[in-house]
Amino acid sequence: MNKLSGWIETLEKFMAMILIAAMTIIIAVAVVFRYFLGAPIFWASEASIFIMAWITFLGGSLGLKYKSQASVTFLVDRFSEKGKRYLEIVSHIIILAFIGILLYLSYTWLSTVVNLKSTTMRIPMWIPYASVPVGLSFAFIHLLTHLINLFKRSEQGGQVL
Amino acid sequence: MIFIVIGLFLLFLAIGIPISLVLAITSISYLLLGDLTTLMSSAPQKMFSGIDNFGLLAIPLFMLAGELMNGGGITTRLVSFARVLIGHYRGGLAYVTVVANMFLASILGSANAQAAMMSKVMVPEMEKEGYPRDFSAAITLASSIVAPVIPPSMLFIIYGTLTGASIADLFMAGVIPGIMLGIGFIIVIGFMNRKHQFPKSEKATFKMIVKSFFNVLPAMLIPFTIIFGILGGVFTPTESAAIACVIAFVIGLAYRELKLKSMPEILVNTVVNTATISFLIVTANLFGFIIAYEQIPQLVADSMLSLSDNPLVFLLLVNIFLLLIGTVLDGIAALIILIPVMLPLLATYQIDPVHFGVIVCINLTIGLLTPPVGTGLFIVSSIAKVKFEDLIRAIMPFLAMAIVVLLILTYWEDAALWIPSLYKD
Repeated sequence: MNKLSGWIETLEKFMAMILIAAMTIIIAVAVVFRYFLGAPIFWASEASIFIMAWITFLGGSLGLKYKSQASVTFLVDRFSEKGKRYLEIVSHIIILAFIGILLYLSYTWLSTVVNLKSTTMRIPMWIPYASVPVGLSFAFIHLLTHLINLFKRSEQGGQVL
Repeated sequence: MIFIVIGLFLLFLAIGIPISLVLAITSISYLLLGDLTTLMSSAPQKMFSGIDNFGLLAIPLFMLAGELMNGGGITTRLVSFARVLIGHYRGGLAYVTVVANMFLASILGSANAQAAMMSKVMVPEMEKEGYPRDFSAAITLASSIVAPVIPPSMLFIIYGTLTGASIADLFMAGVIPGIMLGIGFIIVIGFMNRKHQFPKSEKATFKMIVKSFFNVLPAMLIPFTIIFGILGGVFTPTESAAIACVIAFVIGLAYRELKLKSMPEILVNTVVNTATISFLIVTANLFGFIIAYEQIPQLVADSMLSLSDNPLVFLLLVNIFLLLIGTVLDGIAALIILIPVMLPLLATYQIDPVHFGVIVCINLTIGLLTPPVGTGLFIVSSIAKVKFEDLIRAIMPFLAMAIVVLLILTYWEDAALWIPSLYKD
């Protein structure tokens, strides 16, 4: 499980790099084309919004893996190490259950939009929309890995790594 | 049912679930409890539409520009420039911290990032010259709150996309308030100077001033591009951010501080940091839909109106409320959750959305300085190795000044709206 989560992480990072670089270049080049060449790139803003969708869901998944997303911690910090771990187990189970529901909803949703085309580029809308289920699936695997590790740690008598 | 959902919301927040997920989870449980299947099947669509906005793209792009500039070189360069200008006054280095923070704020848009960068450079420097460490940490942290006020600003970008207010106007509206905050902190240092007799540095020669001016000049191209690009209507804030990235990349290579092999890390960091905001926007969009469905904004508006129909009273209540919220909730999260609820009130009280944006963003940024959860306090106390309690004590005068500036801005609309009005007609 740790391995799978690691592979996904590598894949996500690789995609992240390409996406953010592509977005910057597209927008910067679009400015140059509009002002200096008088030939605006009509698809630039749509393409970069689609890229942003992927950045959001892949980056969101990475953020959950790295636990870098903002949360309210001042109450949790009052618990003992053991109490914190139990709370973490409980919250991971809740999160996984709901991400599961969202995953089901988003795959169903994706199957209803397969024939839609985007307004300016005329590419299939599943290309940007797929960011939702894919990102959530990756997040699910990362969080499940966290949960399994939490259980393993409790069995080992609570050695915090 | 709405009370069950609010209860769940608070419970999930309290047990430490990331705020972005709390918003998604409470929304889904609301839809489940209410058996609203049609709405539920459109939940992914609602999430997606949260980022379907060109203005938001400015977030990753300004973050990337910041990361590219993050080599540390830019901070030292700005500090030495501020130092040759004003370092020779009594308490010079304290003033330098404020001024260098204001320069840096015109490149970066996030107070946390800025507080981290500045405290690494300034606190050891000030300590070397004999300033108490807790004071040095406090002044560095306090003056970092100009970051989201002086353009570019992550908070303004988010506020603009949430409310439809022009991000360009917000950026311009932040200039004077940012300078006011800086002056406010300089006044505080001036008063403390009388009591403490802070040290001063050597006066710089004219040659040194010129040299360090040329050192910072390329970096200052970035704020120049942003401000004049937007003022002149040449490009949108998002486009100016992409141009800023290109400039930052070229300057980084020219200064020999940016290594190509560190690019992958910079790019990944940018994506992860972007997503901590944009993922929150996505789930908040779903949550906002539930809030609207329950007509909570109208409820809030009605109960506010029954309290008072005076806009000044309303703004004062907003000030107090946001200061309190800012003590427990991250500023960006608070902004994303609360703005949709407050938005209808602006029309009712005839408050300018740009002015309101400036107030709200400063208000929430002050939350970085307030215990118990001010994230800025944590960042600086760990980097500068100052006890949390000592930092809180040392920050108090600056916190008080920040609140005074906030109150002035709340009642003096023109401070924010004057610059945007210049290019309006």
